[in-house]
Amino acid sequence: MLKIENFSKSYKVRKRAVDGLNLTVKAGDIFGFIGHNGAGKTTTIRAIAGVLDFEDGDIFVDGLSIRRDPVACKQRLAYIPDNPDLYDYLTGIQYLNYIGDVYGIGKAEREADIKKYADAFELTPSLGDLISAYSHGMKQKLAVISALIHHPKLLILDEPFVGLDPKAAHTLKEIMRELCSQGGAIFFSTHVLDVAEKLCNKVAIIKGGRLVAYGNLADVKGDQSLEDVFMELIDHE
Amino acid sequence: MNKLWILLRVQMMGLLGINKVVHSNDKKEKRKFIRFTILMIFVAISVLFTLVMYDFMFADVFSKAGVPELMPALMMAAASLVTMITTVYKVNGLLVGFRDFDMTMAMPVKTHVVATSRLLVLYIMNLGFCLLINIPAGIVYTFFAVPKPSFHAMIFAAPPPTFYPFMIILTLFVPMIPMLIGATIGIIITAMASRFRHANIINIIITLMLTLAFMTASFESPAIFTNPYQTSKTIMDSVYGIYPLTRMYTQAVCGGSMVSMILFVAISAVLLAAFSVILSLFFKWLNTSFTTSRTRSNYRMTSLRASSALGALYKRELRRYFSSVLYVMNTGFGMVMALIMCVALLFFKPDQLEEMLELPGFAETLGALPPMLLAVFVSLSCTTSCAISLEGKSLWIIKSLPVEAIRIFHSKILVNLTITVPASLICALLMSLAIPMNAIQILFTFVTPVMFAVLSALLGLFLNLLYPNFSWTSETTVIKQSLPMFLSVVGGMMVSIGLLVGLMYLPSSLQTAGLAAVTLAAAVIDFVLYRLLQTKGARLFHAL
Repeated sequence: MLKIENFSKSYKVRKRAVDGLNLTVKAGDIFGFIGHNGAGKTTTIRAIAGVLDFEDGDIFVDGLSIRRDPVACKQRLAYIPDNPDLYDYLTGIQYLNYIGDVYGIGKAEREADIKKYADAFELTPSLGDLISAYSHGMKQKLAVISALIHHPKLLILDEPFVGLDPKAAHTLKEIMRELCSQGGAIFFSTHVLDVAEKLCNKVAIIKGGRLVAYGNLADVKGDQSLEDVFMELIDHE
Repeated sequence: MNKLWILLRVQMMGLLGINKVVHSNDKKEKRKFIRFTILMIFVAISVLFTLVMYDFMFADVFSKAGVPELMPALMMAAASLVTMITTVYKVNGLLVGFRDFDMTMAMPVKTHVVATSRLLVLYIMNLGFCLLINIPAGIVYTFFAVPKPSFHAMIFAAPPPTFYPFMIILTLFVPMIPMLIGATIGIIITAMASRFRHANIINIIITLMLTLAFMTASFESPAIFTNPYQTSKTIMDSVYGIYPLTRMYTQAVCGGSMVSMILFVAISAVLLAAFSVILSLFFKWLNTSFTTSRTRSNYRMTSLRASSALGALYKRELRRYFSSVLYVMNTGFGMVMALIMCVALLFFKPDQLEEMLELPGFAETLGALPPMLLAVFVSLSCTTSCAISLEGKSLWIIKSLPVEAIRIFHSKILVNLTITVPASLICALLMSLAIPMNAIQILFTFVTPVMFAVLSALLGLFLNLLYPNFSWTSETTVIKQSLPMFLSVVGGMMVSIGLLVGLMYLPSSLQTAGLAAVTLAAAVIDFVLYRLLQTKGARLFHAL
């Protein structure tokens, strides 16, 4: 579903934010992308989502190159950044309808899905309010709903659980599992290692723009906890 | 005081963008800043040159009428008016509803220090205007301050020795009272608008009406040139009557009155200090009650209206446009003015205009001018030159959508054309009714402004792609103070005014041909710019 081949990105001439990254996410995978601040997680995620331009390597979504065929790739994926700044001047429902229009979702399907996910996240009563009046968590929920209503094959999430209340976080985890059981794939970054350990079947640990561990969760952590493995790799590699 | 300076310094850093350049390792960013600075110097010199021209014109008229001191007085009144009107627009975003309110108020700084720092930024921004208007006016005045104007008089027979020190000191105080009047009006408008669901639309309508009222009042000034001897006294009386501080300013600067000087300084400083105290008392309340969106939280799923992707992008862009009072006022006002001018034209016959403007033969050349006149107004209404920057931190949304860059460009261009084209066509219709024109001239009156509207929208968008800014904290930065906005509006205006003047000087027989050439050139440039947007524009968008 997602293949990253020799992806590198430099913001300045001398330093590479991400250096020669290779990884694969298959259908049904919930892939946790772990690293400390400034390790290159967001850069990678933004490049996968087609938000960030890059020159070295390539990224394939469902077999299509994000560099050569960005529109088709974006039609297949959904991206939620770590701090979703949405359009403050729209109401929640206007924003969701806007996304529905751009992704060409049928009217009936759109209405049913908005109702399903807005009810699940308890956001339906607030959909008529301006987004400027939303709390951080409500914006996060709205961004998640907007990502789900167009049935992406690949869901890219940057720190998705930050700002969500425990119930919403639980709902999101359920939805993530449901999406993967239906043949989709999820690639998400997180600092919360417990979540990664409980939710993911595959993980990758990135340090200074390079992968230091990558594979099935059980293979990466072995007998240790993911936190121990992470600390060991970050401190000693 | 120390904390006030810290807050002020941070705000000024954000406003001017110097800090970003100093600490950036990006050579491209630095080159952009240097180009921007050079252009700003060029714009400042052009504005200064225009002002000095006006100063000489006014001073000559008033000197002949025996009241040369009316010129600096009038310029000081003009500076005050500009300060007041621009402050009304700036209140929302600078004094209330600014982005870093929560962060700033959470700091261990007293509320009055935060409020004063915001007020000081407003003051510094306005002081620039006042210095630019007042100082050249004062210098030109010294040339005319004697019965026989001369450069010799400027040095040896100049007004009182206190002239320059008093003028400089008072100019520092000139923005204070207009600023607090403007701020009060701005706060009232924000407060009134916040009571309605469609707050921004109400805000736009009130601000537009207010600005039109000021503009109508200031339209009286052309009478100075038609009959300076009779009207100078009347103007002096009305200016002094409306704004008594103008009299004090004249008495202090031109008459050397120490009492007037002290009074001016004291009144301005005391009123501003009082305003600052009152603002501090209500600062938190203003920033929380007026800017907090009302929530109903009673939405029930109803049937949704689906649109095409372009329709959705366009509707979203249009909502963005009308969500900002500053955006609408800065880019839509030109077309409103054009409409008012065209309606007014219906009440004048061409020979009456000729008589009023004292330009014999003007009526004969009138037919070729409406298209270019409308093109000037269209150039003033470029919404695309900040449309990319205004995406700000929400840029990720359009960049992650499954649509080609050109479709996003289309939505932004269409919004600009929605503002300019219908208004321009109505204006063309009104002009063709008011001014005698042949069929070809009528055709150009409809077609030429549309070509310029497309040109302005395409050029603005391309410039914004070249010089984007997503790190703004106040919309003012990109709507009013950005390089693309300057280049598209000032450049567009200069070109269209230049062409208008050029056409006026062409023999009548060649004017229509000249107009055809200009229209064709605009159409060719439109085509080239569109192709450029499809190729280089799309690359620039992907690299954002």
